[in-house]
Order: sequence, then C-alpha cells, then structure tokens
Amino acid sequence: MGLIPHCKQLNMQVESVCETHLVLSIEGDERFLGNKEEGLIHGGVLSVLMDSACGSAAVIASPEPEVCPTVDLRMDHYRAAKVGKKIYCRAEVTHLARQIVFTEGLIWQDEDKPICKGTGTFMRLGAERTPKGFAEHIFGAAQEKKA
Amino acid sequence: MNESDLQPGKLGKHLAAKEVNLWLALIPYAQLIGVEAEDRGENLIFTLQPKSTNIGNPLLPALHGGVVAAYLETAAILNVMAYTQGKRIPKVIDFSIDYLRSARTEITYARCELGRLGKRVVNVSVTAWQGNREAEPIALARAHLIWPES
Repeated sequence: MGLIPHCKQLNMQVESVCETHLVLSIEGDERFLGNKEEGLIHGGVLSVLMDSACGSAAVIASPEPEVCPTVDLRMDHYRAAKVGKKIYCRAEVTHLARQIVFTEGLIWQDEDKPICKGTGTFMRLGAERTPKGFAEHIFGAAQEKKA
Repeated sequence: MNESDLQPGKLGKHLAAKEVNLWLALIPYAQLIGVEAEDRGENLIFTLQPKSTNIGNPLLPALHGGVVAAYLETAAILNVMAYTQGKRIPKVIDFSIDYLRSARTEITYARCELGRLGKRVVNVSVTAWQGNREAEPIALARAHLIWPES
C-alpha cells in the first residue's frame, strides 16, 4: 500500500490476506470528511478503499501478478461511515475468468452494521502487457520490509 | 419543488462556481484531492487538480481509480447543491463508475446532468475528460442522491 501514492496518503493498512479474501483499513480521519457538520466520511474515500481492496484481491487471485485496471465499480451505501472510527473493507474474488476478474467487497465500522457493499470488475492485462519488474515492484518491497 | 421542475430545461437556475466553492469548506476530502467548480459559459463544470498524491499507478503514472470515483461523486453532490442553493449536503444512495481510459496526472474536467426518478431521489450522470478531449471521456459515472429538500 505504501507504493501507491494515494493509499499512502490515506495511510491504508493491510489487516489480513488469505487465499480467498483480504481486509484493508483506514482510520476515520477528519481529512476524509464529506460532511463536516454531521461528522460523516466522504463516500469517495470508501470508493478508494473499495477499489484498492477489490483491485488487490484481483491481483492476488491471478496465478502470476499482472496489472488489473478497474473496468467498473459500483457502490451501494447502506449507511454513512462516521469520523473517529476505523473503517474496514473485506474484498474477495467471486470469479476469475481468462480476461476478467469479478470481485465483491463490504465496508464496515461495527461488524454487525454494514456501511457499503461494492462490486468491482477488473481486466487482466496478462503477463505480456504487465511491465517488467511489476511483481518485484509490488512484492519485492514487501519482502525487503520483512527482511 | 415538484417533479416537473426537474425535467430537462426546467431545472431552474443554478448557483455560480464562486458560491458552490464556498461549500468545499464542509467537504475536507474534496479539498484533499483538489476538486473545484468552474463556470464555463452558462454551465457549471468541475475540475480535479493534478496532484502526485492522487496517483494510483506510479508506473504509468495514472490517477487512482478511487480518486476519480471520489471526484465524480463530489461533482454530483455539488451539482445537486448548486440547484438546491446548498441547503444540505445530499446523501448518496449508490454510485457506479465505468473507466474508459486511464487518467493521466493532468487537470481532469467533469460535467453533470440531472435527471429525476421520483420526488425524493435525483439521478445524476457525470462525464469526465482531460484536455479538450470531451468526446473521449476517461470515465462515466451515475449516482442516485436524496434530493435535500425532501
């Protein structure tokens, strides 16, 4: 996440990653307000979190890391996210096709109160159209961190 | 306001960019990514400033898809507020975006069109483009918002 400038600006964190899904989070920072008077987080911040989580799930699901640009993203806002509380997004791949990855995500602050449901579709550019060093770029740095 | 007021050409007057931009003080995230309204003739358009912090793919480089979504959602919100004289920040029910081209780190423009479904819900279509290539949009978005007067 530290390699993606906007995710870095939001201080987006990886909570957990497993084969089937991953969880990202951001703090309910005042910089992210969309309605300062009512203390509500901007829906667009949730779109950034959803796009990042679903996109990461898509990249991880591919057998070899390849660039997966977003084809489309849909957000259903069940209730507003509030300032001052951590925001989580769980994303999973629902179907991995030859050229396309289908994903779904859910955002919450309190586990029993879903805030937003998202659906993202991503294109698989394939190894030949993925810039050389992409895997090293995204995973190499992570390994450096570990070491 | 009744339903017929929202038919094309009967929307009534919208506020100018100068007044619309005053509400940005209530929307910190819109300021963080660099959204502003601008008058273009009779029409209200929106701009997203190119900031290195808005980048999602440093290899191209391209703007983060989520930032483009946040920008177009903000445009839809401000556009509705421009017609309702900014009484309240409208709630977004749902938001959907199609990415047509990757967005370079240059000024991105957006234009909104209001439609209406019922008395409480407004439908907004947003088109985003860069340079003078309005005919080749980088993204198209659609949102439903609660009309703030109801």
